[in-house]
Amino acid sequence: MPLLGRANSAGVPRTRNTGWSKTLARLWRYRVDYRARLLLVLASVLIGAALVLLAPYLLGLAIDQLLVVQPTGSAWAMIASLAVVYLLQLGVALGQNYVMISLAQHTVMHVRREVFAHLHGLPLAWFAARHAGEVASRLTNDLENLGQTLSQAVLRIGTSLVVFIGMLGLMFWLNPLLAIVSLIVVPMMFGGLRWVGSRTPVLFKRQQADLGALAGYADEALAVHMASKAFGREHAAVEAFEQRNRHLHVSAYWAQAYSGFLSKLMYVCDNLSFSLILVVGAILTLNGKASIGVVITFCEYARQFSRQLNQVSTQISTVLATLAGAERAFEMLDEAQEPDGLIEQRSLRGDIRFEGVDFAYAGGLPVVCGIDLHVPAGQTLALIGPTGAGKTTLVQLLSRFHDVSGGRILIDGIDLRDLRRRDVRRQMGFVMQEPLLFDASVRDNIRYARAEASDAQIEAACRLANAHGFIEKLPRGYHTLLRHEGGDISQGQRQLLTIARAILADPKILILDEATSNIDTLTEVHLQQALARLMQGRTCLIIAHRLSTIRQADQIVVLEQGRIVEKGSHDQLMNNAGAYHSLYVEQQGAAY
Amino acid sequence: MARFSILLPYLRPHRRSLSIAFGLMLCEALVELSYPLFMLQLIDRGVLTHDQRQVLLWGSSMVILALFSFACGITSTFYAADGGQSFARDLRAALFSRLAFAPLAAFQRLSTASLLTRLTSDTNQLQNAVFMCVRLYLRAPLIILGAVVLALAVDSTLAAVLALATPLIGFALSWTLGRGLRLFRLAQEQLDRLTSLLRENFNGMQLIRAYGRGEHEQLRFIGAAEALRRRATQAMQLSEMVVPALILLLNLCTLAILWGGSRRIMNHGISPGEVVAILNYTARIIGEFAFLSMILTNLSMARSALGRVSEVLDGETEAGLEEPPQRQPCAAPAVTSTHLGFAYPGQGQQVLRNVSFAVQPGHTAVILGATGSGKTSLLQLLARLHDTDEGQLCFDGQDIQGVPLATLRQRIGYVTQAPMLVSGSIADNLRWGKRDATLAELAEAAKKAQIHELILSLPDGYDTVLQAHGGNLSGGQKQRLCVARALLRQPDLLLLDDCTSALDAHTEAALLNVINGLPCTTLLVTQKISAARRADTVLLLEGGQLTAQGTHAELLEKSTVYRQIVESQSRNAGVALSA
Repeated sequence: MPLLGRANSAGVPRTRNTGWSKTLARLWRYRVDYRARLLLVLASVLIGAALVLLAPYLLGLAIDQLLVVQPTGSAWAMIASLAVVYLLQLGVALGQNYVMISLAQHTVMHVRREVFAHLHGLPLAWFAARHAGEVASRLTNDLENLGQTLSQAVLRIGTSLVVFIGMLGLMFWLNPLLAIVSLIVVPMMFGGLRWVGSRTPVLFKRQQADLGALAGYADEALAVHMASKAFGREHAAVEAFEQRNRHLHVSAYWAQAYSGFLSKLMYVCDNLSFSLILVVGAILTLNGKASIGVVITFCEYARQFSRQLNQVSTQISTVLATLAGAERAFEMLDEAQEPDGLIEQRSLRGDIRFEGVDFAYAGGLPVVCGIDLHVPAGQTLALIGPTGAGKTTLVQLLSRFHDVSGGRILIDGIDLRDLRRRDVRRQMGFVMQEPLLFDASVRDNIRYARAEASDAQIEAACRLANAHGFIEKLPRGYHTLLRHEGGDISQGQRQLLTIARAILADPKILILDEATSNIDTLTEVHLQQALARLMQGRTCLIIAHRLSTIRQADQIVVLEQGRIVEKGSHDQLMNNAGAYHSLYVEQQGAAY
Repeated sequence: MARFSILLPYLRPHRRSLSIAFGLMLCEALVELSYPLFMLQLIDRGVLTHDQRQVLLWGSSMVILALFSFACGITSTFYAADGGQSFARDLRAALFSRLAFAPLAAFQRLSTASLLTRLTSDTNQLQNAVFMCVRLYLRAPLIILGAVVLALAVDSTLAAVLALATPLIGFALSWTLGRGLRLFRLAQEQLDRLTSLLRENFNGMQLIRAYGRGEHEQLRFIGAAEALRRRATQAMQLSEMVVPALILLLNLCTLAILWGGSRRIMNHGISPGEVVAILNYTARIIGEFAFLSMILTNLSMARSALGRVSEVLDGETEAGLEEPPQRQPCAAPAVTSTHLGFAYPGQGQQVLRNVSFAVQPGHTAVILGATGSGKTSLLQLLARLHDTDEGQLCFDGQDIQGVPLATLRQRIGYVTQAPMLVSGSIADNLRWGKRDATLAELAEAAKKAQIHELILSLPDGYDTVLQAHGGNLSGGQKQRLCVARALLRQPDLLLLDDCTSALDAHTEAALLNVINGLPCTTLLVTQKISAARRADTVLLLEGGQLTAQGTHAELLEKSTVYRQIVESQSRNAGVALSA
């Protein structure tokens, strides 16, 4: 949810799809700290692949020397060297996995940390245009997949490629004819893969569409659950769901069946090449052109060969999908952070001046235009006007949610853009229509304004905010945990807590945006009292629909279509008999 | 803890497909297991005796078996997909029906997004586990066991070393699976923690900046990310460490077989073909290990999906929702509440305490009170969207607990606080109120709800298609459509929850006039004194207790709080108080 006003994505540039090669290059940058370890992994991939090639070859030799011919002394050396190869294989595998997994996880951790830190520097408008769930998922699930892929797929693909090439060479060197026989099934496998591959995308698309329809229906049905119960619509809802469920069943069945062929295709190719190698190998052996050992070596190679091929083809798609995920995380790093001013100003008086301020979203129509305002320190300004008049935009400009397109905003005579952002923010308090609280205890929520505040100070703030009374009555008092959903405390009480927090923060400038509009009349009395205390001695900007709440403001500004149409105190404006006057009269009528 | 048995009712109807798929997979496995035996014959009878015919005979049988196995595999794929997907369909249907028939409060602590996950991707995870089970997961142990048994059959002395290694392998695999699942769960928990931390930061970013707590948040995040890194590393390293060790173990077996075999051949105790066959069995066992880490990831995902899915399956459903009989014509009921008490399940605090009141048949009662004072809960209890904890709610003296739910709700027209409309035409939405309503009936209800003119002004009139949640209508239009829907039922009891908040004063007055003239008993929740003025009874709720009831004039007399509300609203409006 947007924190300030409405969501608008118009001002947010989208980065272009930069492709996986760039993502890979970026990942490489993270590996710089680990370059030595990565080289080690690289070396071990080569050694590991060599061992994979060596073991079946030695086994074939051993079989020939030990089983077929009478064993000689060198045969025992063969067994010993095989043992060494096997042991080395274990060592290399353990080392590779250990280093690679920890390397991948460290990389992911670093990317996470960097993206998170970057997020904290992005303009608030960026957040307003996005969903929390989506951003969270990029940093958690997408990067978690990256961690898995980096640690497993990279090793496997690397090994597979080396083994693949080495094996081809070795097979042709050992026995060209048998090598050709071993490769006979490869075109068959590729043909099968392509056949399946050309059919599944359509099927998966259909499945995805049916799943979308089902989820969309369920989403809506759950949203209107209460009405559906009240009107006895349960059976109708289940029936409508069933209809979509049946569609999904059919499309999912075909998608799964076709994609399920792949592994069967692998099996049959394995079995066929095994049989062919045996037969052809045996005949060659009979003619003295091969040996049983060589045939065994080839059988093992053929098995490895198709497995490596399989692995590369499946892992590559995983890797590409994962890189696309990683790219979504990196995209966030490409978002421009907000520029910061240089002037350090730890204490502000709170004198606010708008000078000819214009604002328009990039490429859009102007939202506000030629705004001139002056709010001396400690005074109150109320902004009123119809929806879309630009009230919230003015407040957003002051809080640097957006920066002005023209003119300037001065605080204590200094251009807002030249001031250090954190100094300005420290001096600004907000009470918004939707009270914003964390899933934490009441006390921690208040203390958020000032980490070092004592319990007594927190209580004092709550007393001023008329919140102490109801907090004491909560089952666990100040330790009560607040939750996003579930109403242990009312909306009005939540608002009182945000006021207590603002009191504790003690800002010089206070912004109230429809702070009392969702509040029932009974709590409003408490709230008005608390707000009055909070507003004392601060520069205040108030946005309100109910005009009765702003009568005491030093200045009232009426906005229409982004321009100031009237300015003055309540009495002045009532005498003017202009826009304010007619709004006021209209509201009197409506409330009856 | 998630139990697998909860899925049995959805698996059982498809046991035929699943067993056929399993049986065919077994055939495939048997073919694979028979290969070393063919190899044995081919070497001993063909190569060693220089008989080319034998070579071709055994070789061609292997090719035929390969094709047979392929046919089995493809057929098995169809059956496995049928079993798995039919299971998924039934599971989804069961989940949705649980949700649809669940009491209102049952799943309130779960977000819609999380419920949707259970319906879609969690079900898919489980489906995939079932599908892969009959194709791959059960195949691996079968091949391993079969290979050992057949190797023993070829030569029990030489294969003894394999038989010795098997329990060790079995133990290592099951230990890895068990521990791996636990580690993956711990990692998942950390990932969830990180997600909620991110969401909190996202939603609270403005606050974090306003109060300069960015660094504090970053430290929290790094802490959580670091914990996740450690957990994920542990989980992933486990299987990647165990598998190479097991492979070494089997490779050492290979050497032992080679060595033993060569000695036995010298004594003519065994043929070379037999040794090669046993070696080939060993190689095939090693081949199955490649799937371990995949099985581990899939099963661990399926297990957490099972946990989430069973949460829904275990949920209760409301009784008495069978299709109701034809609605009996009834008059507007007298509504009485005696010592009513209610707390939401799982929350200690009562939202309503000792509430007693009576509303005469055909009268209109207005319920006033602060947010959180229990107004909405009271309406929901009247429609039995929740059940009361204490006291009684009666229609014409009959406890509503005794009425079948469907029959009870049939008599009620309910307008919820947030307008609830679905995508579809306006007519479809209105017909929620009465399934077989004619166009004339729709128009009549819409006229009463002050929305008929507007509907006619839309390009397609009553056939105008609403977007999801009625997105193409304004708040006030949605509210009036919901009122029309409730009026269409010609309800005996009308429950209106703050349904005029988005209407302008003129329309609101017209609507309230119509409602006051209806023959039904009406309970109206509102914030506005203007509505209370016209009501027969005003009920004032404060913190879950009924603190005053009576007419507007009576309450002005006896309730200070009521006077305060009246004063504050007239002050706001600048209108003098006139009782």
